[in-house]
Amino acid sequence: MRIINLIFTSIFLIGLSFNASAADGAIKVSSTAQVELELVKDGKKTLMRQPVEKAVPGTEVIFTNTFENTSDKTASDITINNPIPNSTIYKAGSAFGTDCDILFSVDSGRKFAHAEELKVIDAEGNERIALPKEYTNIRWVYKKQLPTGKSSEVGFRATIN
Amino acid sequence: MNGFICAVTRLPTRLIGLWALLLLAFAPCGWALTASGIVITNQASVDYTMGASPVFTIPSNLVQFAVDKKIDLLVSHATGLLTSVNAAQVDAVTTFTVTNLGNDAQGFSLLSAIATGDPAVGGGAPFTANDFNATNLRVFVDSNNNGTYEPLLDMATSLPTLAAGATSPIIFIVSDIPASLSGQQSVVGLTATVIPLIGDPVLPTPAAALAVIDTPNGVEVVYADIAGVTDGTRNGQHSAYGGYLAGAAVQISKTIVRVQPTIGSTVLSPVNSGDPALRPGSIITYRVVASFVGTGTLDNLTITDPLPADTQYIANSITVDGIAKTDLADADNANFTANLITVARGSVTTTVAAPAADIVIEFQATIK
Repeated sequence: MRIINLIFTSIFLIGLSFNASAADGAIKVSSTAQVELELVKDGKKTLMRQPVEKAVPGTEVIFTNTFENTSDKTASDITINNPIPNSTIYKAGSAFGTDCDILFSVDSGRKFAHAEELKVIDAEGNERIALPKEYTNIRWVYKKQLPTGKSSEVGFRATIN
Repeated sequence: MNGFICAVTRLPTRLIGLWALLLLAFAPCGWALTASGIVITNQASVDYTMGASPVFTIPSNLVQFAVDKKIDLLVSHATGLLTSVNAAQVDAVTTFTVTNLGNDAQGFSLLSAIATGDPAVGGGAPFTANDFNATNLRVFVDSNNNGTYEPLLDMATSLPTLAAGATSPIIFIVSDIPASLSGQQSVVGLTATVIPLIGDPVLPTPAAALAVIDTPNGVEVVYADIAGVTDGTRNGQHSAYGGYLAGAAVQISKTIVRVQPTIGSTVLSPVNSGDPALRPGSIITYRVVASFVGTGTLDNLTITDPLPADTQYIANSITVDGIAKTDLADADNANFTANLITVARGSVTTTVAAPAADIVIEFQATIK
């Protein structure tokens, strides 16, 4: 019986993979990790981003996800999910994304809510607003449709523990 | 790797919840910094539909980079106070700690030094005036961390291993205090320098570390320390001052200032041993001088001097600062009782800048 279940599950998973790959080329999402450097040139300070190279505890990393509609159809119901990377802490207020509803989770993506509505139960059993450092996942709900050839980006900052 | 990520994202939510709980349970134990070599991975995914299509889920590329080795440390004076010492004191200690602020265990070498001049720069109060130099500086680690320097136990002179985030046991700078003090304070500095753990490769110099071209997945050395009182930023070192405060002390000297023989002329100081004037019947005038060093107040100061053997005290011969005193234990605070000259002086306040006046006691005795 268990073996049959396993086979069913496998077929189901293969089916999912097939669906995903069928959509390949429709929306592409690429992720980058960068650090921000302050450059002083002619007395003016400018911020420059570059890929993460030297990364030590305390380094703030900017994670950016760019999604692009490469198909000939308009995409809808776009949601971007990003677990906070291991060994990092989400930086309060850093999530960005135009035309997005930004939600957070403190339970590895089981439940999402706006920052001000996200609650946790503390050690004494009292409910309180979750702290940004407790976030485990971020979700961007893109409120528009993405026409053919268009792209947008979402992201956040996190500090290496 | 992709497969692993997919497998995790498809875990039943209950299992994910359990995993999260486990992570939270261990979080308080793991406040240490992320160790070097840990690979940080980010991967997003996008869900979308097209027309009446089902929801498609597309993962992003994996973004990965390894955490580099952060070298950072802090040397702190343990109390922020000067250690009270006396002139000629040996093994006077001032105490420090070293904290490893890096993300890996490291060793640290330790070096003590006399502050150069008055360390107004970097020498936060009270470690600002270097009036005299402590000598014979040594550095030892408090082996049982009881805060007391024990020469037979505390013999280690470096920290071979200090865990990431850990603070060392007490570090002692042990010094000797000169017998003659030219001032009140002595400031000494402790510098800790990062060294590799035993068996680990040599660390690159700060300059070499800066020149290394970083690779996202390689582990490079990053010097991140702040400047100490005698060292600069990002050099794998940190330093702090400690110091000694010499308290008030009294120093006593005794001389023969005059010998008056029964026949012949008076001999004045210096009177050499064997001088023909030193014979039975000669009257010797002894002088005891109490002088003051350091800064502070000495309470209940009493100076006593036993009459030398084979001499006979001459009654009422005591003078203090040139003023005659009686032998009785009375209000003049000087007496001769049971072959002992005693002068009581109560409290004496003295400073390095304005030392209290010497107390000069004289008395006479006849050689038997």
